[in-house]
Amino acid sequence: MEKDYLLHKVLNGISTPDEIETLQQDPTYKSYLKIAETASGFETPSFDQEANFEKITNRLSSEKKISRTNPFASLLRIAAVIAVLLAGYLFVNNLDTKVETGIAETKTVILPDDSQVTLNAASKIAYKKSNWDKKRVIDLEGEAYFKVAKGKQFDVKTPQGTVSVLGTQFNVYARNNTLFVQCYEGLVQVTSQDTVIRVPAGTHLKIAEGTYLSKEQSQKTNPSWVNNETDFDNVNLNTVIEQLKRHYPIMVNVAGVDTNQKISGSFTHKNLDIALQSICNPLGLRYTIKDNQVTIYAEAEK
Amino acid sequence: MQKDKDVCKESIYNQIYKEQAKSIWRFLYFKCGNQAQADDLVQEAFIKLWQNCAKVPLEKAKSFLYTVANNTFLNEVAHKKVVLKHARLQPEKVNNESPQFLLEEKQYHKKVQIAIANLTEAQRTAFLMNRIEGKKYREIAEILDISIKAVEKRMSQALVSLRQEIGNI
Repeated sequence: MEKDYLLHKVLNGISTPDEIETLQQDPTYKSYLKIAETASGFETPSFDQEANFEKITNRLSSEKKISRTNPFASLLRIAAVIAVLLAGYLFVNNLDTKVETGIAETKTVILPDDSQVTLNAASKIAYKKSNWDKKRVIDLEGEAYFKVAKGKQFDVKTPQGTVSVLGTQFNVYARNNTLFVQCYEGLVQVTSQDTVIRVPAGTHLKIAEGTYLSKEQSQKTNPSWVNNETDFDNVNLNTVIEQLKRHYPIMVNVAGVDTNQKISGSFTHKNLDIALQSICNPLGLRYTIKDNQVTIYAEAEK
Repeated sequence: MQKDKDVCKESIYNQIYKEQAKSIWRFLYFKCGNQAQADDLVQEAFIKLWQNCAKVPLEKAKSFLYTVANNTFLNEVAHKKVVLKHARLQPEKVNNESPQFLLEEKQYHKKVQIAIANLTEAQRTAFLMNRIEGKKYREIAEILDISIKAVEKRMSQALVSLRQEIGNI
């Protein structure tokens, strides 16, 4: 241990000649000293201080160069963002414009050519804004009233058929496999499957389950629902209740009443009580309203 | 922060390079025995120092350089077996010895070289920093971030295994 201490003193360069002499007496420590001395005689390959410094400065300045090109890179980045936004805008622009109404809601949409579409409750339309001048096509599900500006052919596509016009006012009802077209001004042409039917002003056409029914109608200038009223002419009670549910957020239970019986009349969109009266009274039915539950039942049974 | 001791100042930075580069390069060479690699690692360490000059006070620059050099070395060449090629620089005093003695000396040097190459990297680095660089234990301890006792231990271990190794060759 004592000798180890002396050895470290030698290696640390703080020993006295006496101490070295002591270690030389021990063959093991003598060989340690020889190894140590030999090792200090070794040299590493020379280090090229200048060349390495030059490389460091080059590498540092090349990094700066990269940062100098950054303004251009960020310009590219901005250009890329603009390109993406532009592409997105074009894409969105080409998408269909969709308008939808919920229960008890009507909406009026002005089309790019100033044609007007009024949507009845629970209906939707879709059309392309971008190409409107060249192709006036609108998809309809539900019911809508059109005031079409004069121009190219105007098509209303429904699942039951396509209604084409050249500037007119007309109502299209397309629900439950029934297409009901009322023309108020001008001339409407209805194409359903292979049949082409023209509907002149003051006439309506009903297509239900493959049967066509054309009829003169009273001299009205627009459909009654536009004035917050629904009128019906010789239709099932069922259909009337369906219509009623579109204008009021209600559930309707019908107890012991023949829902297939035909009925003509109208109901208001503004007051449920009055609307139910105008449906039930002519048929001799009664009703109760509890929250949003409406029960219709036959008077005789109570 | 004294402005005149700012590592970010080019003159200060250049001064640090002049004082430390060679020593760090040799430190790395003791570890990897590869000149090109030691060059790269030294450059890396000094580039890191420049990039972090604002964060490194002057008195910490040296240990920063050694730490970065050591870490980069560990990342790049984890435990790769290397053979050192020490150039021989012998004192002139042996000139008047006999050719026989010179030959033996030469063979002995060769053996020491091989034995040093076979040391563990930790033992070799500490041993050569002391022998070739002439660094005191305290300085080695600082650079390697270990205690002086640990340096003593590495030195003893290095000598023991060198002696054994030379005896076996």
